[in-house]
Amino acid sequence: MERTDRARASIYNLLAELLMPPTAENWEELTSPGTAEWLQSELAELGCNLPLPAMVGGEQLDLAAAGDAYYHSLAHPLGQSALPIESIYKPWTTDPSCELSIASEKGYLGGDASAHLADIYKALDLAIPPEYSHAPDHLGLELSLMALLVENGSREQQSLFLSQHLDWLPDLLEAADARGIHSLYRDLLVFARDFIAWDRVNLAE
Amino acid sequence: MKFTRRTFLKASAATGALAATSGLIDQKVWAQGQQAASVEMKPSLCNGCSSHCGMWVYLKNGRLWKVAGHTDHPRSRGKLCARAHGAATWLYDPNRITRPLKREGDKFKPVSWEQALDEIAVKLKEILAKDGPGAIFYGHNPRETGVFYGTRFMHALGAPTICTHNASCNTTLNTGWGATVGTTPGSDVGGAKYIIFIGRNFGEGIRTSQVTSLTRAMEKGTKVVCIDPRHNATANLASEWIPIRPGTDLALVLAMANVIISEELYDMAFVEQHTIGFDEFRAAVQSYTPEWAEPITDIPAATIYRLARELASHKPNCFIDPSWKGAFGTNYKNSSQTCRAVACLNALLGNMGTPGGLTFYEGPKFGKLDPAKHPEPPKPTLPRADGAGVKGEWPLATSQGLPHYLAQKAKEGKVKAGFIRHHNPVRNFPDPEHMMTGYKGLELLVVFETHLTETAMAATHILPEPSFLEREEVVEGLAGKKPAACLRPQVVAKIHPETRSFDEIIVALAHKLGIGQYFQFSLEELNRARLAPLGITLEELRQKGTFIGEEVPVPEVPEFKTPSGKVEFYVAKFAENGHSPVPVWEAPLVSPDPGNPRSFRLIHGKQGYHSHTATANIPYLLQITKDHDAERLWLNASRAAALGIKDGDLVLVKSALASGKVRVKVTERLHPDAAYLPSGYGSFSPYLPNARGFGLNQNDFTPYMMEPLNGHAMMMEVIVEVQKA
Repeated sequence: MERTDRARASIYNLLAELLMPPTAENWEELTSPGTAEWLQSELAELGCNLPLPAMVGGEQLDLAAAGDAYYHSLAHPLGQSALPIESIYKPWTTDPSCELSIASEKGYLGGDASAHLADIYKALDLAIPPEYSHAPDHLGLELSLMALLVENGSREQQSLFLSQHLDWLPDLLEAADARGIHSLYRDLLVFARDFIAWDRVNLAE
Repeated sequence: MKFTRRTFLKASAATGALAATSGLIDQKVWAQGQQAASVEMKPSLCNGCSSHCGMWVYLKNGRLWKVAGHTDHPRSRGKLCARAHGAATWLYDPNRITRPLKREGDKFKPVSWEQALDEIAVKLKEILAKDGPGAIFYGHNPRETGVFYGTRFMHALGAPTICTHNASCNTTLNTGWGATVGTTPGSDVGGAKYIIFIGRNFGEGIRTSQVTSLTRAMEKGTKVVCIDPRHNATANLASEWIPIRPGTDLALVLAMANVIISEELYDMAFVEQHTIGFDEFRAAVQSYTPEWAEPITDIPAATIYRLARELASHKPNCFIDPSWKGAFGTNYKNSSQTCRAVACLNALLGNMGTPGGLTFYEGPKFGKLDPAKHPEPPKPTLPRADGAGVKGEWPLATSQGLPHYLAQKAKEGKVKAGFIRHHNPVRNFPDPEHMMTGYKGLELLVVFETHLTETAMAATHILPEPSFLEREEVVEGLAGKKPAACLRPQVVAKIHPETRSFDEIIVALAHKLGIGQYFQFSLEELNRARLAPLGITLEELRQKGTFIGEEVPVPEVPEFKTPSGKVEFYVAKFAENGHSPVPVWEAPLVSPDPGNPRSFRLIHGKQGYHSHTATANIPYLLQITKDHDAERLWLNASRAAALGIKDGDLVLVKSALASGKVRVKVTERLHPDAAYLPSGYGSFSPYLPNARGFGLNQNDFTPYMMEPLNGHAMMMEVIVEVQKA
């Protein structure tokens, strides 16, 4: 694997880590100045001129505060947060035979995106954490899969995945703004959106 | 890599697989493959309202694809209402409760099942030791799973107080019909020649098979009279709509009884052989002439004479529908007596158990768990905490209980803990502040729910259930000429792994509380035992969903489960408790001020596409409301004109308790005394983001009260002022 691909995969993995619930296992490390330094150098290696998200090496939250901020920003399941799950931001299915009232509506779990991701994991014999069984299309899992595609897949597969699955972050940010999520998580979502946009161009070149 | 990874995707042979499956990542290619898959059908029972209509669930690639009415099920007969199509989408609703929650202040924090159940058990044991099982209650919308497991759990604890939503719905039916004929009968719509609906609204309190039966009966020539202050959706179908002043149905029924008796139009043989207390009833209604009733009801005396004579001329193939909430479920101070009067008037027609009259069918005779292996806990002997059936409190209240009085008892520190399932008393009883203060003040309130309702907001702990398509439940029975057994099997895998069905939770709690000996069986064993006598296996019922049994012969005249074994025009226990033993006129508690042009009685009713506030958060159903501006307050056209209010205007509605703004529907289809509000709106839980703050709710305007006879909530005893905002 080329050095730049290693950097891309690592950044996708870092975003996946940060966009899943923080744990004692690596929270301090993820947000440390050392990680910020490393991220800066990886972005430089890629020629990607994006400002670092404040969460990495900038404003610090201890683990408890981070857990609370994450829950209320991205995981509260009761309409209080911007759930980072692709199906919610896409029409539920494109299959015209579906007669459900929600068939072409946005706002629901278990849509085509979810079913497609579940099938990809199954085909690749990838196990997802059981607590995400309702959302195989959770942003954290999609970023992990993107890292895996960078490491193991073709550029065409990476391009397809970005354009078909990781294309909903602008809608997520709109929902995040509507719900007033924690500024550090909003800033992180902006970075994720912009890095994905950069990578889409990068892959097209 | 600079950081430690948790590895969210545990891979084995990803590299090779990726290379070998070039089309795998392309969603368009994947979608084409998906479209070719076949669709499978599984049976279920809808949960959009309490009717549990039979439905077929269509699944494609394991995903919900369509729902349709189950042709065998007596309540759907192949047709579903809008609520079913909306409720099915709860499966994929992102606003569901996915993990146990614990309230800290006004915030909810996710906790593990172990922590939640441990905390509940510790607190409950403390309350049991300190205050005894009399300080605990269980409230629910009574359907089979909640009835079986909830009752067994409470009895095992020695706790007698099990209540339902009915004191805000139709508990006067149990009181009135129960006292008169021993039960609330059904009605043979298809066989009747003449039907009177007083407030009963098949078109909106909807079961699709009832609407089908009604339209078929009308095609055959049945006359249907709809008496309601509002020209409701059933009036759209009926032969005739007679608007009545709200709260005065009792006067109409008494006057009709007067005509039928004084003109000797009643079934004398039936009255002679199968009733007691007729002389007292005849004496009581002697002065209630149609002329007397006209100024009370606002129905011309001539119309009352005509209705009484028409009805009696069709006896016994006719009835006044026993009703539900409609006009006299739990609405007025006189509702229990109105229900009694309706029961007595039907008895005059000799229509008990006749074709086209009232029906007294029973459900299937289910089997039971082997009592030697699974003994039932003894029935508690303590008095109920809500005073229902207790001398000195509410001796005539039914075992359906008094959830609004429990809030009062909680405020007084006499009730300490509650368990509530599939029931939202804080929103659906009058005076939410009273209800919230009472329930939130409990030391322990455990709410079993799929969504964070207003009542869940008061909970100390919320335990999440999967949606109805993700859980198997206890086999249910339906009464009928051919009794039916119905099952809600699990049709899709659980979406949220941390949800648990009610039976699972109760069993786990029971073991933590030391009453596990009463729950040494599985739901499957229970269902097998229930089905054993019926000649169908659980496996077969899981495939069919609905099983229609053999026709059960019924006696020509039903066996009345009253103290005398007869229809009781005179009810001794009413007299013993200081209430009139025969129905007599009693005015509603409050009335609009005739000198105030802004003064109206606030009435409410269901819409066919919502089930009170339970469905208001479903976008598909809420959109129907929005498309039709259906959250509006109805005002009579002449009254609105006098106030300078035009259709679509925003008005201020005000009672002593609350005020709120809503747009108006100006219409001729409403009695001038009434302001009508559809009952499904005004949710205030912040966790119901679609429904919150949409429309007004009648309960905000109505004070906490108890009807003197059985303690119901008197939902329409409220006067509001309406003015242009």
